[in-house]
Amino acid sequence: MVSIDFDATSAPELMPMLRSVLRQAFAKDVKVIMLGHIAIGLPLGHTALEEVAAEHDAEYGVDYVNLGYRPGYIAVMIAMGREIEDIFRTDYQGTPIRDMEITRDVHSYADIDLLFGFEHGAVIDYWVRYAQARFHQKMTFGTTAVMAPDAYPYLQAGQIEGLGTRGMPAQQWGHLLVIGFIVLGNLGYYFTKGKRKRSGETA
Amino acid sequence: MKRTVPLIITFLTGTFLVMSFFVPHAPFGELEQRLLVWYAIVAGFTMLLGVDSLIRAHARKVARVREGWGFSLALLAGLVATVIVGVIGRVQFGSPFHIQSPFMFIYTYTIVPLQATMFALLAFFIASASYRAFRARNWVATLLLVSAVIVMLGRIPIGAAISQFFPVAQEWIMDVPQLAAKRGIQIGAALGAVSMSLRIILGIERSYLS
Amino acid sequence: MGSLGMIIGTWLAGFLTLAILSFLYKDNPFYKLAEHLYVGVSAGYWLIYVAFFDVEPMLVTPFMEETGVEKWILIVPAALGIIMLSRWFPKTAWLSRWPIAFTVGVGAGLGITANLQGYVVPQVQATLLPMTGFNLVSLNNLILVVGVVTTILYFYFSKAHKGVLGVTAKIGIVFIMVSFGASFGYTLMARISLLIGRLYFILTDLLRVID
Repeated sequence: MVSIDFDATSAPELMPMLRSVLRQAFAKDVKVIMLGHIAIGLPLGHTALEEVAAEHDAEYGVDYVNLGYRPGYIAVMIAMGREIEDIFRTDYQGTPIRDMEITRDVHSYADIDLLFGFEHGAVIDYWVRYAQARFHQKMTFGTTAVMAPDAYPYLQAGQIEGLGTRGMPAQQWGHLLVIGFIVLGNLGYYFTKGKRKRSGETA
Repeated sequence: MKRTVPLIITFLTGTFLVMSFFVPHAPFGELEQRLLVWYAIVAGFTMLLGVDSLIRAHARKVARVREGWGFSLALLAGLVATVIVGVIGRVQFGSPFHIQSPFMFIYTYTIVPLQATMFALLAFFIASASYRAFRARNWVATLLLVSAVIVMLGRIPIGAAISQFFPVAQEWIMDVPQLAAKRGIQIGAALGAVSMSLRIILGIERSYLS
Repeated sequence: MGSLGMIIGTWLAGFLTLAILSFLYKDNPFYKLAEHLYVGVSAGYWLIYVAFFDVEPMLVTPFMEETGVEKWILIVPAALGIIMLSRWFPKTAWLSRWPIAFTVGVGAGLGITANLQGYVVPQVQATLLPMTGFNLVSLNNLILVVGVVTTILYFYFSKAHKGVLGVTAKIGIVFIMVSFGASFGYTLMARISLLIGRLYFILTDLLRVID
């Protein structure tokens, strides 16, 4: 599950990360369910999703889906721990989630192997405090450099699995970031591999 | 009616949600889920607060041809155009942010550059502010400055090229002292949030009713 | 979107980018225009979002599809939402306190348990680290414990920072400053990166100077 919790103000930092994580996911046949808590940034995530999905001939509703946005992120996060359909009855286009192969049997965090959040603000705190603590969802985050120092305590306490930042000041180093994220993506993949096999490839 | 009813509503929802956290099974769990869904629905409406005064203020400016009415007209035109293309996107493609929807055009070519550039302006301001404000006036400020420089140098290739000290020191600062302080501050803030929530539920803190 | 649309779009985006950046020279009509457009378009965006990501999927669709209690109970959140808008009119504004009280109550109720279970408990646990003799790990663990405790004590303002509390507060400020320095360093790098992002857009997509 990928959460878009940033907007255009952080796009130069987070979009390359998002793309490389999505590429990793599609290359490894990991299913992608996208949603987002920053409404004004969600279309950025959607654009990246469609773009990367096209590169890998991924099929909508089978390999990936975009649930869209719902207001009130605290409530959304907790309610998803019980039944995702209560909040996201349909995807962003109004297709019922029970009519799509990818989400047919997805009910709660128990059916999600890894949440990968892209964060530029306080939403990361809500994810950890409201969803991770209560439902023990595995989480990894890509954050802006501004947010990264604040997120270190979560990593050290083992509340989150991984943390990635760009933090490099120029475009020419972009490729280094991609390498970094490929490593990180692989680590995330490695940690969830066993679980994914059991629950049928959903992330 | 004006004060008592809201205080009762807050007290009941607040205490119920604390209770249902500890007793998640029926009927608490189901009722909690329902309240959460309602919360999401109602939260959406709070986003509409403010839009009305925005429209009113600028419509008045345009109607009375006050100074800067042209800008107000642009504001209103932008608003109306966005709503129209949003509806077109919904009708034609099933969702405003379908990749081919005209709403996405407005989003990609106006909202994104405007938002990003506004924020990029901060780069200049933060650079000039740091030039002026962050001087090693006393030992405390020096500490801040040294820490900032080490962290920056430790994270770019040039830093490592100068000395291996920078990446190592950067990592240590991030993992030990800065983590400790962030944690201390956050624990304090979290406890503060808990006590504030209690005060709200018990009706001691009422500023949200004003 | 056709390629003509993309060209027009890129020029539009380029114009808006430059209009905003022109503020660096001084406040001018181009900046004002871009700023007003930004506010207007954003407001339109929110209206669309509330309509198609809240009202339609969470109220209208379920109301059409559900039957019995599940159908009619939707009147409650719909009413709360509409009452919220009573704020638009001064005479009825007090009514909006009801739905606000509801959202505040939910937020407070959830916040108590989440902050304790999700932050205070795990973070305190993670601070209680073992000291396994005289080595680097133990030293770092000790520094971490001292840092967390002195930082919390620094923000304890109920007593004057004198005596023991004065000493711990002094130590606390060291950690806090190092931490602010680290955040500042990270922030500065990010802002520069963002600025480069916009310049990159102007040079590649708009002017095609760099490829």
